[in-house]
Amino acid sequence: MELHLRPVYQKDQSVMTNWLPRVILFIVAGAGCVGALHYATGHFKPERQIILLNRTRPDFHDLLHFEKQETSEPLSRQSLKEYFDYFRLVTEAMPQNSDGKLMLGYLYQITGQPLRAGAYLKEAHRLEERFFFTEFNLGVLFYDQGQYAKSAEYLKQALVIPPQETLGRMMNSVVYRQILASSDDSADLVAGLRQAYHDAYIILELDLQGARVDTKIHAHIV
Amino acid sequence: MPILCELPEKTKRGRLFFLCALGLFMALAWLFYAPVDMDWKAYGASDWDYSNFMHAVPAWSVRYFHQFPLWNPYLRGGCTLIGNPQNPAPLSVTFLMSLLAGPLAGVKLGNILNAVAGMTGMYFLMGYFETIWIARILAAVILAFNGTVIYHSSQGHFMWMMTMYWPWMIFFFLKGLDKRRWIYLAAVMLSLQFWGAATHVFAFTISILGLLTVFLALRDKKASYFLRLAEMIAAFVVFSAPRLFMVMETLYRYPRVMGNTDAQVPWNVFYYAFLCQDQMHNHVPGLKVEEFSAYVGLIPCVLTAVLFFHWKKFWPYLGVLLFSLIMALGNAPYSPFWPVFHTLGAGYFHFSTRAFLMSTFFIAVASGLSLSYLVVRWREKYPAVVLLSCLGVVFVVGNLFAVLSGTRQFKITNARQYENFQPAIPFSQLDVTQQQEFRFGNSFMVDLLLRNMGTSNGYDGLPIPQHAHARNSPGYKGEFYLQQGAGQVSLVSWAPNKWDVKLLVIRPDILVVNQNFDVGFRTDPPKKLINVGGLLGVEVTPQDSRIAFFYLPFNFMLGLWVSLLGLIAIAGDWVVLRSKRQGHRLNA
Repeated sequence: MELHLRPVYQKDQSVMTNWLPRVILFIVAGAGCVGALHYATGHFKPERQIILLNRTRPDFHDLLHFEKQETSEPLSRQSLKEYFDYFRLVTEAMPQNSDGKLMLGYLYQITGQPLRAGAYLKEAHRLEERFFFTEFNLGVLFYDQGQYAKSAEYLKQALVIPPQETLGRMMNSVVYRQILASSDDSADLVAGLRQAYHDAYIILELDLQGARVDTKIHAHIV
Repeated sequence: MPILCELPEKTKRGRLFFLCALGLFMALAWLFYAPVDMDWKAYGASDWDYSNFMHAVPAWSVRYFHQFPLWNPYLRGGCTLIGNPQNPAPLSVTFLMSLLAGPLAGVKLGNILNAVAGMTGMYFLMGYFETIWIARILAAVILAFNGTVIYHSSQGHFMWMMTMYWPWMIFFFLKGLDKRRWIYLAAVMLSLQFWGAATHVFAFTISILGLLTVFLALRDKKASYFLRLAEMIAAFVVFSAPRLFMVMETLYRYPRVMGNTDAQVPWNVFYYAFLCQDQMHNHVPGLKVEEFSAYVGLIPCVLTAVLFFHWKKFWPYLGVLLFSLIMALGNAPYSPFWPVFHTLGAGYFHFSTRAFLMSTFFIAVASGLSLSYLVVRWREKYPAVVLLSCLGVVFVVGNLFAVLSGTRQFKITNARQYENFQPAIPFSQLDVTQQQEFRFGNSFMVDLLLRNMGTSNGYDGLPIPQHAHARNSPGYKGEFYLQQGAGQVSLVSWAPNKWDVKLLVIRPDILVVNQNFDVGFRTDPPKKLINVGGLLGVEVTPQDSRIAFFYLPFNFMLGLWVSLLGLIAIAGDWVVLRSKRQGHRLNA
């Protein structure tokens, strides 16, 4: 008797058996990659933006020299433009971070634009109530405007915060670290902090007396 | 003479010669590495500390804390371990050896095993090209003992030894172009490189695969090769998904973007890299010798040049070789490849001369092919050529050993007393000063780790922000504390990946863990995580008496599911291929 065997390979030549496992493989691998990237972009976009941003940070030497009051000259137009641009990008990238707004407020303050400075500093204070430099700069701003009671209120709150806490807060800030990276000497940071607390006590005293002195007292960020 | 014959592996003689070759490879690897590495205290400068640290953390997580290594609390205030591209755990030879023998001995033994695996792979790859036995030995030796591999493995870049999987991968890939089932093995080899922390090597691997596929498809006029490559990459995703997805997340989160600031590399780098016997001094201005060394010696270079006479047959391989050589010239005006490579996904790279890693691999292949061709062609007319080829291979081995073993001795000079890990010491973190932190042998990360201490400002190639407070920093309040201090916190158990905390809380407060915040953490009982100035925290109430923190990120779990589903699909494809083979056999 003759056997008529159907060639076995014909059974496997269908599109389904040939392609289905491979199609599933492509779908699973592709969907997995897309899912993983979607998750990462959803959760870590601000973190990534600030890291990329920090790579384009300007040189903060001029700002630190100005802060130390080593130079009586104002910041150059070019440096100011770079700082404004940088901190605007920072606030756009991290709208919930108070430090970018504090820096913008400070820049407006030292360039003589108290209204804008006040808006940014108040926004920074709203986002983070307990930070020495935000409250100090608000105190200086109101003192300059002759609102001594308000100024005293902010400065009292600022002086409650121990310097160690302020130092730790600055060292842990992704924004502050970019500025401090331009510092030549870490001792400057402690000296700057001491000067800021010293200034805060003086302005508070003047606020309480309702007096005004001719000596210009600067805003500070370090 | 069998030594000069093609050796089909499935014959008795083929198996015997393979066993002889394997014995020879093991002996050569031992002879090269043992004199320096088997001094168990020998330690190298540069990246040795970082690489040892990256082996020690997962190895000790498994060995002493019995945990799957996912989180690294010892680095920069805590960061993902499974997502760190330079983490060798859990699937690499060096990591597995570290588990057995400890990190320092483990990486040394792992290097030797990787070298043997690479030479064996090259033996089979050259067998695919039907070369004679002595040519296979030559290619294998050049692959394992060239300047690039030796210099990088000597300065702590152990993951560069993942190039030893290239011959296996290409062997399976070439076979897979004809028979699809081999493609899955090629994907396994690609995955092993990825699991083995081959960061730089991996970018080269993808370049080689891409170029080789294009060139081979053009030569053979077969578009199906692209489908094979796509299948290989899909299978690779499946085999490595849990780690791949975490690495993608980490690289997105902490992008390491190196500006393309590499200098123009002068032409004379080829002489100093491949031929110059002095591989100790920085001959090329602006480049350290460890970045350009690719010593292979004169004979392999001449043999490679000879293969260009067979351009028509072997141009895909020679084409990739030329690509790598030109890319090494960096930003030179006549070298367009480096800027393109840097832009297309390899932006984390620096030092264009690292492309010599690809060059040495293809020089090894070309030398073997060329020697085989020359001997087969001339052996009947000039019998002396047989003796000459054998002597030539012996000379190449001796020359590579003479030039490069000195290099290894030069790089691995520090003798370090390696104490035992002390897991019983309570975990803490230290800030080390800039001078101590890192650079050229003065790293402290392993030293601190041995005492169960983290380096809160430790070195990593990725810009991981540090938020945790070191024990010696002003803001330090402890490893676990209540933000308002409304109660007491005590640690029940600590392990790198899991912390169990006992609480006595008077009023609602925030429990802060002195580790960097990461959304991949979970708590038992489940609570919403809070980012407390970059630190990990959860709200606690007087009802809470105990909270356990553990790291189990979403993308890791997603990867496990993708691997599971993908493996089912691959198993289905294997069944189809198997039934096809049986069908063909029956029909035959």
